[in-house]
Amino acid sequence: MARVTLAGVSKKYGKTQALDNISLDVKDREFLVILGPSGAGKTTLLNLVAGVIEPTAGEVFFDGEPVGHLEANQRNVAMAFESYALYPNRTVYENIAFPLQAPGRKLSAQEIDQKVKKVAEILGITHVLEHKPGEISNGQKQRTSLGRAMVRNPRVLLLDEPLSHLDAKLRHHMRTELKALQSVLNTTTLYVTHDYLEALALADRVAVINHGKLEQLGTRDEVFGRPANTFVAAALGQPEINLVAATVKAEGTELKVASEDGLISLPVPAQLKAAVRALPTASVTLGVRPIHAELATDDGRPQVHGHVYAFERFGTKGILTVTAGQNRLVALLDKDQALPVNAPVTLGLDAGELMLFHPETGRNLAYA
Amino acid sequence: MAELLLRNVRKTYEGRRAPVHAVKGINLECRDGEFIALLGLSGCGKSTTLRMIAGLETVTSGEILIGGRQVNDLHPSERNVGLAFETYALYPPLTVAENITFHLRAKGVPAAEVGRRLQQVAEIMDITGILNLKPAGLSGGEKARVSLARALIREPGVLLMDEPLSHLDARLRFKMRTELKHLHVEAKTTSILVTHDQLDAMALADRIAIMNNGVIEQFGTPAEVYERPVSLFVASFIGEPPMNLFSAEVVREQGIGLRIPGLQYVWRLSADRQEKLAPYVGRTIKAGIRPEHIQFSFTDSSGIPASVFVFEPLGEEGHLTAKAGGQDLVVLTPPVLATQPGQPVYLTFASGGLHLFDPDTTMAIR
Repeated sequence: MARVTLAGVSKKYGKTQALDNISLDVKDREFLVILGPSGAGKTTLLNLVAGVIEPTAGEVFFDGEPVGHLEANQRNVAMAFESYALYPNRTVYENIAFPLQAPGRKLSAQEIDQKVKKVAEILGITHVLEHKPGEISNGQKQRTSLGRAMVRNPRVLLLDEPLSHLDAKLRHHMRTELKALQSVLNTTTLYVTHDYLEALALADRVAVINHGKLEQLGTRDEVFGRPANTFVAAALGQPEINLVAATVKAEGTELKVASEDGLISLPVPAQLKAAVRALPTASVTLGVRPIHAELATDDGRPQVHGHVYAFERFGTKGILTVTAGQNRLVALLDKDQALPVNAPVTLGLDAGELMLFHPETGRNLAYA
Repeated sequence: MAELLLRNVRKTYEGRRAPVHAVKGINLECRDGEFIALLGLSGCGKSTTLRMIAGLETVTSGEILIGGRQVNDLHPSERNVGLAFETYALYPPLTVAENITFHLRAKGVPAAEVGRRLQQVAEIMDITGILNLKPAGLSGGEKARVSLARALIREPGVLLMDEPLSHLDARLRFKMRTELKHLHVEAKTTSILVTHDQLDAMALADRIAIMNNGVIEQFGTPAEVYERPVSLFVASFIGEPPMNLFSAEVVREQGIGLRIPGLQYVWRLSADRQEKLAPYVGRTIKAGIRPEHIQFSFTDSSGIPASVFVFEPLGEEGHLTAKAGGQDLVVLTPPVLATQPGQPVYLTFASGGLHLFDPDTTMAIR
């Protein structure tokens, strides 16, 4: 097990800055998810920790010791791949035992047997040890792949988008399986994905990466509930957070943020007033998640009057898109009802969940 | 606008060893202005069906009628259909405007008319700003919109779309789906969408034809296929997260009830249901219940005893997977829940939410 530290790590390929000054500290046995769109630099980051590539600047440490001089096979990291990469002509037992039989390893057949059986027991695949990969389920293949990675007791486990090419149903199922395995694996893990649902389901903490930069490192509640900036806010949640260009207005003792046409108007939460007053101009970006927008009732919430642009139903959920002047707001409804296009509609917004971002940098004012 | 009728349409290919029955006699009626989705896994025959409607494939037997006219022997260009395909098929050396107006100009439509229709369709698809760009300079979402614009400008009787959103990432898919939804209501073009993604079908279609192995298993509104699936296949295909499917023994103990194998708990049924299950007493059937129809409690022990396997907090909602007698059941919960693996939990099924399926035919027991 190991603590992994990246200190000012950068990687440049020719003119492309794949990673830009990344510093992060992964705790011992932590399950860190690295989340970002394709091309963000996630796999590059993983490969740097593995030792497959070298940084252009900065250093990687395991338990405080620099590992830059160590080759990949000297770092005792293990990678488990999306395609499992199991040898089809060998049994599950042989697949798991394989890394222990590499030249240079001096283990007796008995020691190997003990280690393989122990790992198989932990992963619940003892009963398929004599089967070949073609004869077992996807879940068992994944466990075999993980077993092979874990049998050497690696200091760090690296997983690169293990679920990305599975169809939706299988992805849900395998994500649940992985979650169940976390406590059993009990290893420092770096897990790369572009799917925010995996990040929320699996992570102790999430590192959100964009264009090689670390946008935020935090727990799932932090990255979802208090995103560092508009990029992180939009990266987590489906449908995406509503972001509206707004201006700050003082109404007597009240501070409000409103869209230019005034159709969307909300009071500034008390804890953000100081940050709002400190803004250089009256402009600000307003953020409301679709789950915090509902069909209006007489509960005193700020209301937005508009027209239905589209209403998409998915069984018991519905995604309502409303046009209000120049802006569009998306609301996630848990009701199914008739909402014809162009019909007038009023939304009620949860003012307590309002987020405000700097109009230029996109930074969340809650962090100012 | 036109209505579309398929009567007992078949497509058989000469296979190497035996004929391949890609489409096995399907009947479909799509009303004027209606949006229909052909939904199924790859290989089910949905694209073949669309291609027969388009005229890109011959029909082995059966009839296809558009606007009351039999079109089996008509060339695609004579059928008044607009095609928007997965691969977009935009001409690389032409600009967006030229791509969209190509067919109209080839037919000799006057320039003024072409210009007017281009402007109209470009506004609807929100592509007025990219009319002078070439396909290589476009993003995935823009290409999808140009492909649709090109189909729409012909004011077709029927708009045919084959997986137009499949190459788009999740975020763009969501946005384009909303655009397509809005567009259909405004333009009211009779539309057929082929997709493997049940979210596309549920969000966009007035009615969905779920295809499996060359036949239509169910043809109904999104509400119908969601609430009253006729078969195990349809039940497991529609819904996200998917319906929980589990084995249940039909037992007679002071009336007919269901027992999850391995558990003592017997679930009581309505009189109506008991009557329908009478022929199955002593047998094991398949039962289904959607995650949102399961209530859970950590304290009230009157429900089915289970234990927490895993909890996934997913931002807008949570998924609690519980094990009951060795079978997994997924429950929809609020996004935050204090729980641990192994914790006892008691489940209750909302009475209207249980679906029962014949173990041999896999059809719903109604």
